[in-house]
Amino acid sequence: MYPIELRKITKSFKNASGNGELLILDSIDLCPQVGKSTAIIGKSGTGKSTLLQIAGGLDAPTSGSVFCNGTDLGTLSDSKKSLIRNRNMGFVFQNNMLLEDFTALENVMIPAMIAGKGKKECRDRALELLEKLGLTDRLDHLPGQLSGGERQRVAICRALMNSPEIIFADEPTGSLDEENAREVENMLFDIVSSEKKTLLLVTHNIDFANRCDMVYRLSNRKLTLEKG
Amino acid sequence: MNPFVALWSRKRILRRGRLTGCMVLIALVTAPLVIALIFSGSMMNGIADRFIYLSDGHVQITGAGNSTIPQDNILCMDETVTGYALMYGASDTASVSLKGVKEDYFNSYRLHYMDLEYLPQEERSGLNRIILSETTSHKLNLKAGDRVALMVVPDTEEGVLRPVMLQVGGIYSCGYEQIDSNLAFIDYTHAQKLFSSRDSRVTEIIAKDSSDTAVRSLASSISTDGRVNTWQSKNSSVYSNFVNSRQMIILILLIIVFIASFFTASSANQIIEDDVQEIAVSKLMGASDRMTRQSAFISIYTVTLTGMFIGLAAGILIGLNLSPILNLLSRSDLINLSYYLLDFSSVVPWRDIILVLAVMTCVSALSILISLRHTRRITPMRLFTGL
Repeated sequence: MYPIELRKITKSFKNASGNGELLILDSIDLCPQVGKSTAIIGKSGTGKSTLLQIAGGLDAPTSGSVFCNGTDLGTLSDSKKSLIRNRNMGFVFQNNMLLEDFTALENVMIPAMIAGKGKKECRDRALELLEKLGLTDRLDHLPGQLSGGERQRVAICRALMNSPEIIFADEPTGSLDEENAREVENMLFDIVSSEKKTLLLVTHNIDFANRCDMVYRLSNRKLTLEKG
Repeated sequence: MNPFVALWSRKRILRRGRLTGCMVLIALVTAPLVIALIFSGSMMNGIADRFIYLSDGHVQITGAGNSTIPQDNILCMDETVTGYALMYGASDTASVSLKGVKEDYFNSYRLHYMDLEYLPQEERSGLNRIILSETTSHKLNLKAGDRVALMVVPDTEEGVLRPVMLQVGGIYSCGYEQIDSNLAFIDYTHAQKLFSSRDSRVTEIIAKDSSDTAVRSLASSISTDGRVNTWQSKNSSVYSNFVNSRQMIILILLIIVFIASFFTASSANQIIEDDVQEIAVSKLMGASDRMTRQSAFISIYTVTLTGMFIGLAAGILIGLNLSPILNLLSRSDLINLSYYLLDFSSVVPWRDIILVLAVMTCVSALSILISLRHTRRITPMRLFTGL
């Protein structure tokens, strides 16, 4: 069983006029290897983010199935999908999506708190992760008081909080300057490999993608293996 | 409670802005409601007490020759003689109800409800005295010590109108013009001479326990050859007016409560709209729809209840200190105020307040829950599509 497995995924959207459909993804199969990093590259607008959202159970495919450890996400209720996202998946997005009223520490603790874990357990794990990413002096800072790179590091810690099997990262360095981007890349790869997680990365940055074990290109609605 | 739900609720409550506004508004609605309840309830109690202590007693026995009255629930009992007269001033006349009372009639229980100033002993003439209300003395332009002519209405068929000259031996005020304008006291022995009918003799009884059931029980336990009435039955129109007014006030307050609760619901809606991003992120992290609803409900409901209790406390505080406002009002020349009592002890009508607040609590909870159904439509995809 794989943490995530996509079978014959097709996604189409209705045209703005309402007549006809726009096909984005056509019969895509994808099965990231456990403990490895997989990148999906492609031009803007090719459907990379849509594919990642479908893989994360956030969006539903028009046809095809997404399996998480053998369970078809399409057959689950919203609350069960939420549970799977909480326990088995971590997300890092370009705009980090931190809760502005929560401190860095609290933001990291959220997934464990949602899972109903005890305060001490949540805090200890969050402190461990924040320490690994060099944020011990930013624990009580609100996201608005952090730099872009720091915010993204907090988002990475949050994604790893419940020790999920797979991390979905959509352009995690897209909004950062080169220096910060490189630092976040390094930290992401270091922590994913030290925690032995599966990484599914979407990026248009070829250098970033090439650091992954496998690289797929999405173009013309199809996925083709470029590396690995 | 899930730790995330608790933390998120706390964050929302502590966040300044809309929720604070909501709390202030609820307090501003609750406080006047409580003040209105205290004011109306206390005034009605005050008016009822004045009817009881100065006009009728809790129970009256009219025209009795022999009566057996159980003593266990009696605070005081006074024999009086009642009749009617037309009083002449220099430029006006007044129709008054005369009540013949003994010296000890004005005991501490009654003096609690009236201000009474006697004419000094040395200024008294040989005339029989009459104690007038401030209202009547103003109307007839009389003061203590003045002489006043009355035309006494006979209380028997054989009797004739009888002119009497009296000296104003004191001025009283009970604060309620509807009683003041109609009631004058004369000496008991003099009244007996003016009104000889057996039906003019009234025994007024003030009960220790003034609850409706205790008063009815006292009335029914009296054995007499006269007529026994309670103050409610004698003043049935006044009493039913009180009951109807109280019900109407509570009804109006409940309508206001419903409107306020819908405001809470609309605030809840607005808060959900403002927090769409946060709700979507929390769902992305795996929070269930139930958790997001629970958290929103706890924060909005906590704020509603806090606002309500602040309003309740402020309302009680102001309601129990209405005297300065009432004094100002009583000094004004507003004609309609004559129908109101402006000098009364404030009493918190807990039963009515609890009823109104309970309805407010339930309706708010229900309307917030209904508003929060919308959270189901907020999915993590809102973060990407903005839909």
